[in-house]
Amino acid sequence: MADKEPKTQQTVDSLLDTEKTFKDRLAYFGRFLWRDRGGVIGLTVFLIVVFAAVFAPVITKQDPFTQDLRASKLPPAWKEEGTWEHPFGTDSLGKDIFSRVIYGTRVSLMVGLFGVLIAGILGMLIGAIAGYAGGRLDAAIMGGVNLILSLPYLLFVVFIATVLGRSLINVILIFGITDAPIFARVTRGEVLRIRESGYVESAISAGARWPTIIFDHIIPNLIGPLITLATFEMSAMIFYEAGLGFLGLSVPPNEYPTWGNMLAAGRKYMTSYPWIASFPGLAIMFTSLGMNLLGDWLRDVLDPRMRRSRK
Amino acid sequence: MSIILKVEDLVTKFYTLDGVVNAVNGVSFELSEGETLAIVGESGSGKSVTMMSLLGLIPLPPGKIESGTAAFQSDAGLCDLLTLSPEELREIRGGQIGFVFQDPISTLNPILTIGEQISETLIRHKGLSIEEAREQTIKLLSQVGIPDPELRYKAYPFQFSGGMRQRVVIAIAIACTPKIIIADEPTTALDVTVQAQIIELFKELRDALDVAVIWITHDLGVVAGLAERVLVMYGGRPVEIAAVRELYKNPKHPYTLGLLGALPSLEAKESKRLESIQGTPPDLLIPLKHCPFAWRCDFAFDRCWEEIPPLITVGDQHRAACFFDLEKGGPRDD
Amino acid sequence: MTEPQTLVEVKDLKKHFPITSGFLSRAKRAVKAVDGISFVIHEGETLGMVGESGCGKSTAGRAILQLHKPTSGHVFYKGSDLTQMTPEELRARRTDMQMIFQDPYATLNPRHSVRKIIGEPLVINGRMKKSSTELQDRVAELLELVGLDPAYMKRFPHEFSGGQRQRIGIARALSLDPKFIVCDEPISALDVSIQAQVVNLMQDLQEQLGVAYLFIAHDLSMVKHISHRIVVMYLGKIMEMTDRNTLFEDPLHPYTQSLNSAVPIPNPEIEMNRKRFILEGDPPSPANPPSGCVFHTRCPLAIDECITVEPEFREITPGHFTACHLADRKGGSKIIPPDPVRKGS
Repeated sequence: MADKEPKTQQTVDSLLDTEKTFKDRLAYFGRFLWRDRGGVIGLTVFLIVVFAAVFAPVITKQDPFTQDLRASKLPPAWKEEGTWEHPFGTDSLGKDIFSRVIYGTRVSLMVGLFGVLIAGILGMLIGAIAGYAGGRLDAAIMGGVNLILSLPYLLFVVFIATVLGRSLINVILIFGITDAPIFARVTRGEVLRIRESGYVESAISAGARWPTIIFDHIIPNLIGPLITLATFEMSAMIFYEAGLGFLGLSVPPNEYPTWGNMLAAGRKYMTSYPWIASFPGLAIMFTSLGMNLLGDWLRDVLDPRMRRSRK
Repeated sequence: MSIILKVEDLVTKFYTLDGVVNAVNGVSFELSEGETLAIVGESGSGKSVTMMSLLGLIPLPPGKIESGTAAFQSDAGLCDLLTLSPEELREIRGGQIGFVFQDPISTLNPILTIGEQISETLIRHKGLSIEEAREQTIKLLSQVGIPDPELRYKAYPFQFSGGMRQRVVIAIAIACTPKIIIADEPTTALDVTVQAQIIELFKELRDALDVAVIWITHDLGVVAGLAERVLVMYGGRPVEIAAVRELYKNPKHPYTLGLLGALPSLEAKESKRLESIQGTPPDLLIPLKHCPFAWRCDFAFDRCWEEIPPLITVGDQHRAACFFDLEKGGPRDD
Repeated sequence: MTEPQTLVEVKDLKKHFPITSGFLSRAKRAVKAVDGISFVIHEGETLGMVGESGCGKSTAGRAILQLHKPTSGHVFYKGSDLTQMTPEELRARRTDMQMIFQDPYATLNPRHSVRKIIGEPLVINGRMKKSSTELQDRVAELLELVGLDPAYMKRFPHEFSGGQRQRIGIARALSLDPKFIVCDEPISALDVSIQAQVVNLMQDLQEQLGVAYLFIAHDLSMVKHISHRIVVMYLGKIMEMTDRNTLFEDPLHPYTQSLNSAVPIPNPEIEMNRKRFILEGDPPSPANPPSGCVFHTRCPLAIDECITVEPEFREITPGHFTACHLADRKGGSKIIPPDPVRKGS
């Protein structure tokens, strides 16, 4: 029989070591939270946004669409003329800002999630084929991808908005298509890296055919980087939506309250009634920041090379 | 021969998020003028961290030099390397103490010509003018065996092969006639015939410049040909230190014995089964209250699990950190 | 004593990698990684393949297993020519020939459990079903065979040390019961004390299972220890081939002699007193090999013929092959009188 692996250091030392006390465990947990504080914050922000989107009617009793001209331009509740009925104040038409911010999470999440879904699936397919096939096919596909990337984005958006009209679905479609190249690029890079790695060679030498290689080896190792990318792109899309809303090209305001539209509406009142634009602005900022922190943390956690090798 | 470096009880730890890594746990050794000391160990032995601690190359968070002294007899007088400021250390590095690391690709700046990199050291530490430095550089290049030095002065690192690059690194190391050269696995990444060239070069330079050398490696063959004294490290501790012939003939620590037994030798007629050391190198995160080698040791007995063995004298200029007497076949009497 | 059966026969194997520049241009030059090598491996024996960087040994190993498609030449396994097979036929044969790779950190899929890694060859080749107890038992058996606790099959690669990962790689290579394993630098990435463990394991397995190895490495001492016969490669060609003892006691080729001279011996008495021969210069690039004998640029014995005519790889004495013009001529091909190393220590 081969040289046996004797008792490892871990098992022997656990015989000799003192027991971990509750305080030890707490300290370890505290270190974990501190080390991953970015991820903790990011995850918290993300969960708050999701919670707000799902439980919006519970959180605020106000209807985001109701106009009340008598109550227009009211400042936030903690100011003199404010009232707790409208905690964040109202806009020029008397719509409650707080509820609009809360309901706005729904649009942001939908744009982010579905936009990334479309971009991700499209991009992943294209990038994977390019990376795996290599050679001329790869060059051709990436040429096409670069072409799309070089399209003037705004022109494209205006075109779609004019021709197909403005709607939530169109916004999602636009983002899905224009963001796909990024996913394609990253996927292709990762597929190239994985293809050259030792374990793929090992699989080939064991007789694996290409479906096994793609589904057993390449895709599982793609998921980590792609999830990370997805998080960052979601954050970016929330931003872009704001930009579109600003230009008046986003979802029509009477359909859904979006943070972008709110920014656009509040722009002219920045000096007189700053809260109208500030609160949606802050919402955008915190959501984006949270998503980015989450993405950073996910990247570290999902990368098997970074995992501690605790025996 | 006077002692130019005396390290005592060096302890270096790394405060990482996974816990405290006890990289170096009390290393002491001396180095005399012109002597070649080899430090031998595997991964996790702490040999590289020891050197980096002395040279001030440890990133200070998360690393921390907890205790110890390193008395160095520089031209300016006696000083403790561990207490010097970063500026003072920078003066010493390259000037009084030269170093050669394993991978010349990372040591050499890819966007400067090799001539510039060597001259830079001369200008900084010896205050030479650009012209003087250039002349000296060309002399150095031929000293380390690089052909056509005037032409090669203007070449970039990528235009050289691995062996040539390492020669350039050696040229930088000896440029200011240092008192000590510290070489950390300088030939590990090289082909064996190139390794032989570099080792020959080292021997020539060492004799010509009468410089002390600390050679860090895991290769006991290289050590046999180069070293005068050998320090064996394991788990961040020194486990044996002796003159080279004595170490190979009479190893007193089971780890050294195991290492020597695990090596195949070219001149063996029969391929006897190699004596492997069971188990794996220790996890430095766990602070030990016993001998770090105990669970891999064929001779461990109860005392080995209760105390950390100190370095004790077991022969002429020969110390080992072990409670077991290999010759006797039983525990050592104090 | 019966003649050992030939398992693998390599005939004039070549693998050239074309160098293309530009998008549309044809390949004008090629890196001649392997440029015509021939040898035989017998059942149950270990053939060591040794050489420095650029010699082509890793490429050779892969080309033999058809992981790189050879540019020309033949590889016969039990009499059948692997180079002429269809992918399907090759896949069927592959189960008998496996590979152990160099880097234990890159060759195991970080997302697969050990059980999945070791079991994969069996599943791919349809021998066993993915979640069957049959597979589980086999994986447990293999883990024990390589000296690891069967409970480890639930763990993932990052939980293991380099030596343990290499054992996992060996277990995986053994899963199909191959008779021939190509080992590409299997121990270079391991600590010295662990190298001995893995080498002992490989020798034990050879005794138990009758497996033949092609052991590719650059550490001459280790290659000598584990091999029965050794092949010395330089720039894609074989310089010398003979049994392990003769290679060190009576090397015919000047390159082999330089290698022997360059390897450090862990014995201070010997090391300090050796008369060594140090080879000058660096190995040339395989993209631009020298004419005639590829070694002539560094050879201290080179004559005019060596610059223009490539020496034939031939048998000088029974079982001892070399490619040197001077090997069987008057004066011989020895650089220096025999090194004191081999005159007993």
